[in-house]
Amino acid sequence: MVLTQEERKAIILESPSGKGEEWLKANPLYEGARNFKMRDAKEETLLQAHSENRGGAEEFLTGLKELSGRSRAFRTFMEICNHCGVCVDKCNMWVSTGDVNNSPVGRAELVRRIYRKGNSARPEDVDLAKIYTYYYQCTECRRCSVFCPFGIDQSEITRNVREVMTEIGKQPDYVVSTMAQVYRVGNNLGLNPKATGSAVDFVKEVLKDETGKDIPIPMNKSKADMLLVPSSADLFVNIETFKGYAKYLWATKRDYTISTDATEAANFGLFASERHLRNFGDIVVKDAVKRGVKTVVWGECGHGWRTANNYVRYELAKRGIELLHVHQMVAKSLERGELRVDKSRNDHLYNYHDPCNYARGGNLVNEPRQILKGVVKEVVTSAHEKEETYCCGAGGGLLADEKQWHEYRCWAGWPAVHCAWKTGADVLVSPCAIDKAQFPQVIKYHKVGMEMVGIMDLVGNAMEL
Amino acid sequence: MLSLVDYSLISYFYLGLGVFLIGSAYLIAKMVFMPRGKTDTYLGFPYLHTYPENTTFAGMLKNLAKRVLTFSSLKYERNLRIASLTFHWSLAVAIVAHLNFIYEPTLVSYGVPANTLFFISFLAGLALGILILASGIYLLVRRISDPYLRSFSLMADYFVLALIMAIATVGTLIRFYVSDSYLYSSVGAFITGLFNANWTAVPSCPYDLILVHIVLISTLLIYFPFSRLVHSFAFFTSPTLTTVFKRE
Repeated sequence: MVLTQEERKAIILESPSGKGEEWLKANPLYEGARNFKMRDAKEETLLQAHSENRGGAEEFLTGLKELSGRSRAFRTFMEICNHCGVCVDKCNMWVSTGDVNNSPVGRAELVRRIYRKGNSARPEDVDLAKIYTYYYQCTECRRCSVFCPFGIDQSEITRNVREVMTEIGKQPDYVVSTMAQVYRVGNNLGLNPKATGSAVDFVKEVLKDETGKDIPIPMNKSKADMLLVPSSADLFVNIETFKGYAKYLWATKRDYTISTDATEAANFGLFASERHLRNFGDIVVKDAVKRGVKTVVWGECGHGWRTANNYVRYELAKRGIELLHVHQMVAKSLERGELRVDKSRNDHLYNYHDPCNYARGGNLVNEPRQILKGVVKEVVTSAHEKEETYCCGAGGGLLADEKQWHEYRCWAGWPAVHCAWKTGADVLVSPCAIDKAQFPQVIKYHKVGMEMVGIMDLVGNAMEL
Repeated sequence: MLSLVDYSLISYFYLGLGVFLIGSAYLIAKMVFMPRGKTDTYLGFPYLHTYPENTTFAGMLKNLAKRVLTFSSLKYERNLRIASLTFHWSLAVAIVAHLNFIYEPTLVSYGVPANTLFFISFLAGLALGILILASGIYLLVRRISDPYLRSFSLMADYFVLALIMAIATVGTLIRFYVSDSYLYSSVGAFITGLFNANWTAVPSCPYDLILVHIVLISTLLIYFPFSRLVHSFAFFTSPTLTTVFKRE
């Protein structure tokens, strides 16, 4: 392994917060981390999220059998592992907890143990509590698949196993309650159309105060060329990002609209089951068809872009609609010189953190770099970038739990922040809604003097109107 | 006249070969012909960027070759990369070098001096054996000494490594003990006989090393499709490695 136990210790102890020793004591090497128990979802939340089946070990076995007959990825990944251990220290969950069950191979072994028994597997062999605990601690970042000699993708195993867990009703509260929000009002934060409307009005006012210009943000237009799908957090928390969209789309004179029915770029179906993933994707598709748009513009959201790319894109293409990421548009506009930008307005040392689902789960690697080059003065690269980027530690739905997981998440995100901090940059750039919620907490917890922004924030800031 | 031992050994070898060929073909076919999902990739996720080269078919093959031949995925593990490269390559060369038993007369008839051939084969045989053993010991020690690695290692992992190292040890000893002319006449005849059904008695050898060597190899062949050795098929069946991803 590259990271020896000493090096792992050093990364943890280097935290300026001084809490490293305490954390190491609570998570002793080799002996496994303290057992992070998941809260089961409440019965009523499960019903709201359309996952009502309850089952146990027996149903899990049936699900596993069905899975290995259907999924080539799952079957191959179960059979070809060589236990070489190369993936262990590549997983930020292992770096932060030192628990071998929290590494790709350890996690896979929990299920592989059952898979290997084949038809002779008994319900007693299934340690459902352990599988439940550790499979919901995977952030589905796919970093292991880059380094595995056989390309074993633990995220794919996790998704498959979670699918079985979803069908038997074994889901933690935070994933299900977020999904229930989407089924109820259409977005993760539970913003109803009225709240969305007032959030947009607020952004308009702020824009007027700052620029002195009336920048329109069209809402619920019945006919438009483009449908902008922001992450719901952009409307509420990351307003700077939303201002970036509005300024850019207005300056390039696009005929766009946002819809109060489709305000969620994220898709928690990726963290539960493909059934839910399709349902959530269809919300956007339906709205795009209703408004007769030609292009759907996706906002900044990592895993949302991965699902959009791989599900929504096909559904839209069937109906003659194109899918674009806002970065792809901005990169093209910058190339053509359509935007007047003043780089000196972004006068810091920036470090770009590749969100896992852009760099490994999607296809956005060059565009964000092009944009950054165009709108800021100075960018530094970190040791692990592009497809080797570390995960923020809040993927896979972990972000949605505020209290119980806070400290855990702060440590899970430490390898990524540590990596950025080592470059000497003072601003961390990441165009992902989960990163934007997670990193400020990590930075605050570890007392690292850094700031956190998205790419559209910088574009909006640099634009001369 | 063939003895009972000869017949049992020969049948055991055929059993091993049969299980290996049929089992491997079955395993590969089962994986390759499994449905790939709605959009022609695994689970319908064609837009991934894990390996940037994998956006064209040629790039995919290039990436695959780089990974198989140079173990490029182990770029941060210098020692492991050296050890496993040595292990796999020495093993491959040693297996291919066994063809010398069959082609030796042809090579000599082309004018290669028999003495030179024997000398090269003697040196190369010893060197390959030592390389396999040394790298195998490194891999074994690494597996045992690392507490994380040890915690998820199975008995099967140690068994396969030990079996291969035992085969290599016995092979090296044969190379050391047995004279060249004997190797190329009787052993050559025995091996060729196995493949054209012209069976001869198992060549005698100090401590019955040749018998042990063949028994161990047949055991490995039988065990192959049921063990972690199927990792050698990964390069045909792994969806991540063999998919050509799309990129806009």
